[in-house]
Amino acid sequence: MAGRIGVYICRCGTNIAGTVDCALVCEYARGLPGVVVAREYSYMCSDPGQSLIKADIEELGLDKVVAAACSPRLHEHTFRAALEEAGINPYLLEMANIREQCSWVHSDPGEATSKAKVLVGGSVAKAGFLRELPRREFPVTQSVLVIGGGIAGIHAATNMAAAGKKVYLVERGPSIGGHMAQLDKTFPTLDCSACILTPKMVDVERYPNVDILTDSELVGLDGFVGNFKARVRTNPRYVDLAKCTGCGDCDEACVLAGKIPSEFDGGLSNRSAIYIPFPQAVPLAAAVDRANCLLLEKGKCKSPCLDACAAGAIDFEMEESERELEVGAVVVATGFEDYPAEELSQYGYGRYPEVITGLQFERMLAPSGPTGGKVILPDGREPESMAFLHCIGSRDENANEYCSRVCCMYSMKQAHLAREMSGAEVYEFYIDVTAFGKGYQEFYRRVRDEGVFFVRGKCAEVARLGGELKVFAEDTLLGRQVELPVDMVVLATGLIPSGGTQELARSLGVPLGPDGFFAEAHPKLRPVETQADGIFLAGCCQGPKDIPDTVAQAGAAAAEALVLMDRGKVEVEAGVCRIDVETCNGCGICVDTCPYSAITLEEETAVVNEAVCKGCGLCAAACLGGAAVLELYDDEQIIANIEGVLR
Amino acid sequence: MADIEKPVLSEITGEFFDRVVAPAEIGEKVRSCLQCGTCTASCPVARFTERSPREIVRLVLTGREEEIMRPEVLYYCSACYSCAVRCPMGIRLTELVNLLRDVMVERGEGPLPTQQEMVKSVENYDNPWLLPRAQRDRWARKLSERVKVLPGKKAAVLYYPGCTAAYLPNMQKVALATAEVLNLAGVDFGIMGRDEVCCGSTAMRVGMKGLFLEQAGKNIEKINALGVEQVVTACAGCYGIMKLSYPDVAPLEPRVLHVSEMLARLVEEGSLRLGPLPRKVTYHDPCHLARHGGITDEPRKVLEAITGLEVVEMARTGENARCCGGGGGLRTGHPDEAARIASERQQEAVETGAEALVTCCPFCGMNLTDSLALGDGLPVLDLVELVFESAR
Ligand SMILES: Cc1cc2nc3c(=O)[nH]c(=O)nc-3n(C[C@H](O)[C@H](O)[C@H](O)COP(=O)(O)OP(=O)(O)OC[C@H]3O[C@@H](n4cnc5c(N)ncnc54)[C@H](O)[C@@H]3O)c2cc1C
Ligand code: SF4
Ligand code: SF4
Repeated sequence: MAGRIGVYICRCGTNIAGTVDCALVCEYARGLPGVVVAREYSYMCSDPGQSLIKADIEELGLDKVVAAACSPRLHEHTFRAALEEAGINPYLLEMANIREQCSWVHSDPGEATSKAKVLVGGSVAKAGFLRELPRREFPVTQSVLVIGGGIAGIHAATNMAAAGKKVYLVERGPSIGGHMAQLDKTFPTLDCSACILTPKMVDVERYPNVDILTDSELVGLDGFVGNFKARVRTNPRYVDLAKCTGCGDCDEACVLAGKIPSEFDGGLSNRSAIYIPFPQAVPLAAAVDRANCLLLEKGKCKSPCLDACAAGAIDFEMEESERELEVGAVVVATGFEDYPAEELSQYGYGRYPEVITGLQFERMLAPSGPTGGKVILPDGREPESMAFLHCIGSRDENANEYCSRVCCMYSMKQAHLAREMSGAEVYEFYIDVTAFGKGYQEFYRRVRDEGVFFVRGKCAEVARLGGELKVFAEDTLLGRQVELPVDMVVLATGLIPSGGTQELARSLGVPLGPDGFFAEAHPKLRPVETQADGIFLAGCCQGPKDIPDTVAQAGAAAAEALVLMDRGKVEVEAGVCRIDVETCNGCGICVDTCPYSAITLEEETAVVNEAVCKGCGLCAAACLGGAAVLELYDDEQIIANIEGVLR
Repeated sequence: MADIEKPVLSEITGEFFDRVVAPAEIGEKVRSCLQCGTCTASCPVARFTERSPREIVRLVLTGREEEIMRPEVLYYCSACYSCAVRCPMGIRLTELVNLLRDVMVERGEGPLPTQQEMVKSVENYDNPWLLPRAQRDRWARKLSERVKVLPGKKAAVLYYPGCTAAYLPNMQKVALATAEVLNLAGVDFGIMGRDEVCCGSTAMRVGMKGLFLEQAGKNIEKINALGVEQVVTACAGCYGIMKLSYPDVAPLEPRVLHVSEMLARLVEEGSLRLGPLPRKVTYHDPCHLARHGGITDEPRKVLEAITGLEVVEMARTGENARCCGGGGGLRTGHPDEAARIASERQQEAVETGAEALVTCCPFCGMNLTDSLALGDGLPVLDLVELVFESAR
């Protein structure tokens, strides 16, 4: 079967034409059955390129179009729109990928040109069998799910709430706030982290259209862009949020008071098994640490907390609950985790108590922290000398290859604060100083001017020798080995994806990058979108970044989600499964095969829920009678495609 | 005033790198060097040399051939692998230096004169100690039971003592203890007697690639002909070479084990029972076992199995253990520096408050023992000696 086919070969500047002889391909196409016209052009996707196609449709009465250009992922929608504008059905387009699958991967021009011909031949043959299909549109649910309650999640949630949308803010821990709540002052302006974060935490809580679900995690996501169904599990907190006043009396009464290392203070202080996460927590309420609570774990405890709580808020009968949320969009904001410094044993973390991480040092600096804001050694003395070691767990084949982007800056911030507070001699051991943000170079210079010693060399190891804690490095600018005794070492540990990121990515159907962080759809042009329509990224879950970038990205993710919701409807892929009712004998194989449960049997005939079908084609392959047909890839089309290639 | 003039770099070229380093497997990542200095700061010999490891990389990359292709620069590395395991760019610097040594030898500019003697000995007598082949199995005469000599007899395991434990009078105790312990544990083993040849490590480390290939080839052929399932050695140097370098020469059929791996298994299975030995010791990880071979747990498991034995760790242990200074031809080429490094390592051992320093390589053992002449230090014992004492 042929038709009146037009073939349009894109040179893509030299991207395609550099390897493929487009004129020869064009000539070849002209000789194929059904082809009325074949043209080549420098950029088919440009306005003049599309005009060529439109003019031919109108003047030559084309009824099928083959675009031999880049991957359909890039410009299929561009060319479909051109067909539609010229008055024919957009699905009468077939693309031959002669860039990603040809010119970019081959170097021999002769062979690449032959392959391009073959690809075009296949597409032309298939084009003859294309059918008109309807565009499919669905309404968008006017609510959004935000996963992760750090500054990224808080900012995105606030913006979308302000635009009047319903927001579910799901946080796995007992309070929102994320890592920013643990920081003391923030570079480069040195404003107090809690002072700028706390108002935002309170603000987001005040919106009546925001539901903050703490102690909660996503366990499954179904549906599609604009129409997701999210299953969220809430773990029992054993404290009734409505009753708890956050007084902390239970915390003091607990038999384990002062016995469990506090994660908020990085293990530098201890807490109880029932505790207020931190003074500015939102919600400001106690939470029971299930793994440590004697009653819950061992079944035996006098439970003095119950008596201490005047509000009667503690309830050990509480059970986990699950609910299903209908949302139109999802913003992922699950942040990061500290690189586990003990994995690089040469730095002595976990071995020498004077060696701590940057995050622990933040807690030490914080006035409300475990040392009351004093920089002190485990024995209570003030250090007289300190070394800050850059790139621990970053830019290192033995750990992670990427740069963690914030550690140079936080390390210099900490060096400044350490000097200011303790008067200690301070050394920074670095390879390169990554200070790229606004005001960052100025801050770097300030810290140097203040007298922090910079040693250009990566620390190789920390060891206590002859009773002294020594830092070993090379001052590469002098070419001399450095063996520096110091009282305290602070590791600028890098940032890694939050625990559970892989499982979450699987539930969401969003790919991760080679660094293990969520991958954006395009590194430059679609920085907050993902490969899954309707799922957006904000903050460190996409890669290490500072607070300014985190907030900017959160704003962008919120805006993208708002665009989707305010557009009100989404178009979904037309390539879904169709059942030929005449042929279907109701065996139900397709029902069992469909991974998305999109097919049901009604009166002995399979029925496809087109909203749920993802067009994977498994049913079409499984159906013995050939009744399940995948639009855009039916048997006739695929066979014609193969025959065209083999011609 | 001519003498205050500093030379100006008038050419930077990748020509030397492209010609000499790029074709080798380890050439792959060298260009990514960050010049971070981790290698130099990890290097036990950098203080004694004209050029640190970091500088060697830089000189290689900028084509300063005449500055680096000099024995004074290239014949200090003790092949401890400290730089290689820590380099953030994954550059195998130890192997880069070895490659450059190969080229030095090809040009007739290496190895050092003292090393040449040792190499000649390997060529002529199959051992680096200038001793006749006929004396290789003499140690075995002192064994309490006769040992099987392969291939005349058959056994499942070959014990390969290596040249140091076989020949050196003060290190033969390692060979003896190993054989005794294997006997006690009921291991079906034998030795190659006078037929054994040097593993080739001496030749390889100083850049004698041809001789290494010859020795390794001979050894692989001989061992394969024995029909054993395993080769066990108590020398970390032999172990490293057989396990990691032989596969590039020819396939060695039996599995290579360091004695600590075998002992750990025997202890776990209950075939080897270790009696009480109330003593406080510290353990020195040999470079070729720990960093090159990746074995740090097994020797400790064996020590832990000895009741009453207290093991205290030095500041730098396991993968981070400081080199004894003996390897890479340093002991022969620059004996003073090798002894100083060993003496410093001994210092770390003294700081632990232990009464003895245990290691599991006769070469380390020898170097650490000899350094006692320079200053403070602990008596040195081999792991197998201690095991033998406690198993008896
Ligand atoms: C020591 C240190 C000092 C720093 N100092 C500064 C500074 O001075 N200035 C600056 O600009 N930046 C600084 N930063 C960087 C700053 O901390 C980050 O930019 C910021 O915290 C990123 O926010 P986020 O919301 O993306 O991630 P996070 O703060 O990590 O928040 C993520 C939230 O998501 C939750 N979560 C994770 N997984 C799930 C899940 N599966 N389900 C539900 N919830 C989940 C977490 O519990 C957490 O509450 C510093 C970083 C460190 C480590
Ligand atoms: S930000 Fe600085 S310290 Fe952190 S990984 Fe990058 S270069 Fe290293
Ligand atoms: S450690 Fe590696 S990257 Fe750093 S200077 Fe040495 S060779 Fe270069």
